[in-house]
Amino acid sequence: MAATPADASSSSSEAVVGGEKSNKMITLISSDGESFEATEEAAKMSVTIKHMIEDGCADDGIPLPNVPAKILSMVIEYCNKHAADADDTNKHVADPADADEDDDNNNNNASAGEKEDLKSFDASLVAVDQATLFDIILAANFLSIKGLLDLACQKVADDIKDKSVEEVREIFKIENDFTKEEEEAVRKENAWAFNE
Amino acid sequence: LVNTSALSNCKALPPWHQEGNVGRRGAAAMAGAEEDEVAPPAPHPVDPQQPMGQGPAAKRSRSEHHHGAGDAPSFRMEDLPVDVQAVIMSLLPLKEAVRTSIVSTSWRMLWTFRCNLSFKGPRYLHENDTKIQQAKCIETVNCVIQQHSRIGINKFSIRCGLFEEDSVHLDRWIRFAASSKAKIIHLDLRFKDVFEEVNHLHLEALLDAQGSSFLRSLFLGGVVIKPHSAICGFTILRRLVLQSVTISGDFTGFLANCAALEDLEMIECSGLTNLIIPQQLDKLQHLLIDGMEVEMVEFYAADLSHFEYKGQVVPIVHHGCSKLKKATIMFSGKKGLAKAFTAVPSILPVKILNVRSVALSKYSQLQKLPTRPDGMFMHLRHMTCRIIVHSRPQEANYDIEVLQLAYCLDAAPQLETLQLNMFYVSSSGVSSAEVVGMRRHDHLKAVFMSGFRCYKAQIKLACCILGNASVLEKLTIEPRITGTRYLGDNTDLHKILPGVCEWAQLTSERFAMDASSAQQGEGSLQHHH
Repeated sequence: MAATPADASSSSSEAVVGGEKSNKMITLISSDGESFEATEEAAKMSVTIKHMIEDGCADDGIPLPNVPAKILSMVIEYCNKHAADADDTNKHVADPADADEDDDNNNNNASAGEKEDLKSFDASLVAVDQATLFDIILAANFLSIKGLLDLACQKVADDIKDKSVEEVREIFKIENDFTKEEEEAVRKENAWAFNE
Repeated sequence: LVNTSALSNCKALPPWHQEGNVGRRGAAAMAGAEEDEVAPPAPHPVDPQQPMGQGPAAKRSRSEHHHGAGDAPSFRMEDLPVDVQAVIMSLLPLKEAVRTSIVSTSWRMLWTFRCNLSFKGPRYLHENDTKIQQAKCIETVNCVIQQHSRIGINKFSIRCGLFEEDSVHLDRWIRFAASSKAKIIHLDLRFKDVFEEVNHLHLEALLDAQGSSFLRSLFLGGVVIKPHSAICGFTILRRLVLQSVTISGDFTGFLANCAALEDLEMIECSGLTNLIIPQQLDKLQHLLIDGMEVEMVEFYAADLSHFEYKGQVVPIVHHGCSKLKKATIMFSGKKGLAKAFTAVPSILPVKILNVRSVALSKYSQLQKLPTRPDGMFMHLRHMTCRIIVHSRPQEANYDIEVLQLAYCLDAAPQLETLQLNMFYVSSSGVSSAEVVGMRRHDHLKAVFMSGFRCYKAQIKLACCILGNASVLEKLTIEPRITGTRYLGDNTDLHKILPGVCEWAQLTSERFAMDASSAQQGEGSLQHHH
């Protein structure tokens, strides 16, 4: 289910009473006033939102003043994709036998393809410019979505890894504000890391 | 002009407490230092000894520039919440994280909040550049711990052989670990090719000034410890692993104070005559004893779920009611299998059993096992068995241990799956053709045998199972040697394969089953419904 900006005026919560999983839609409102809809299941991937739902504050839509629309739609996309996966994982029954040898677990063949799918989805989600990545991190942190936060932080780490100092400065658009003496001092303090 | 010693004593910058705080990491922030255990840091941008060229004024105007929409620098690492910064730093290798200190002044201290610190040095004494590598490792550790903020450390790990004269460094590292409230400490100071431990480690030094500890998990390797019952600060320790540790003093008394312990592993430790696990450890779930030269093992551990023992056959006394679900028994010496099934009564209730046996002596005889209910494994569902076989040329019955398994199956009437990994290190003897029988087995469904190369004893065992397991669905034979640390010889597989497949075909016809061979030579006989 893709996130669609809904009319702020139309409220579309359909509570399914008595079902196992509620198909209730939650309305999330970005900082710039746009409304987005997500299933309750997807929305609950955010611990912050989960608590608000459980505390009954979600009925008129949840305002998220820290999260702009562009970012919110990406966050919801992530949650939709991963909520489905989390569900499948829970359904997989663990093999009671000791599995310290590498025996073929045929149960995993079906989800191996799905895992690849998720991986490439994740990769493309964070293949964005630095400003957007920064905002994703802030949003994921504020909303307490561990998977997304880890994903975005890993992307930042990957952008730093194996790059020279100059390259890092360029990627993150940072000015070198060290004096020559300061830089010397830092290099000396951690000589072991710079000697190569 | 810069006072380097002042800078290197700078313990920490105050962490941001507000999320999304887009303030400035400048002098103002530092004045708000709240950590009382940290000395007020020398505020480096306004250090009067610094040249004023790139002074605070310049810095402040640049950070104001950050807030302008549109042309602002796009990734303001310094504006991220500090715990997110720590996460990012922890995702980089330590060396790279430290190198980010040179990117800009705002990045300088980021790495010092990294939550995991791991160091590796040489593990073997008798290698060419051991001394040099080791000195490097020590220097690195000292350098890093001097600069680190001591805040938020999750794991502190050093794997490096240490000499006796390096004890001053060890003391320093222990002090750091204790004061940083690390949750996980891993100190493996063994030289793997040296057998005497020389590094004395004082357990009390791991406690902080108040005598308590934040440690959840502790691994010690290659040290000498003197525990005693007055050390009572490890109240939240959940996991304790000791490898190649020399223990003197009152180990049992010390353990009694670690009441939160869930996992205790002791590998090749010396100094103990008896290993007694006191009853205070009522949360213990996993106990592993490997290669200990003790005369007796005694434990209470009412909640124990997984027990592992590798070593000589010794009395293993387990008091109290057993919630044991899983056991691993690897007795050294003769008749390992039979002993595993008879010598440790407390493992009878398990659901899962791993055993290993080394078939050494031709004087082994088959041993029938008790078949009264209180001597059998009435709850055992899954068993993994490794048999390593040695032989001398012309030696008869050298692999009789393989046949012993048939009698073991009699003692496990509820068994559903059996995985048997056989490794014939040498096969120059005469494979056993002993007569072996088995009672009818009404639960065994799936059997897997690796290292199956149509030795007489293997064929006998397989046919015995096929003939007596009334609900057997699948018997899989795999000529390759799997499931063992030893590097088996799988090179002549192509010669063996046709014979194995042929045997599988014939046998399946004989027992009215379907035979199928997978690509890599694994064959399986499946019951045709």
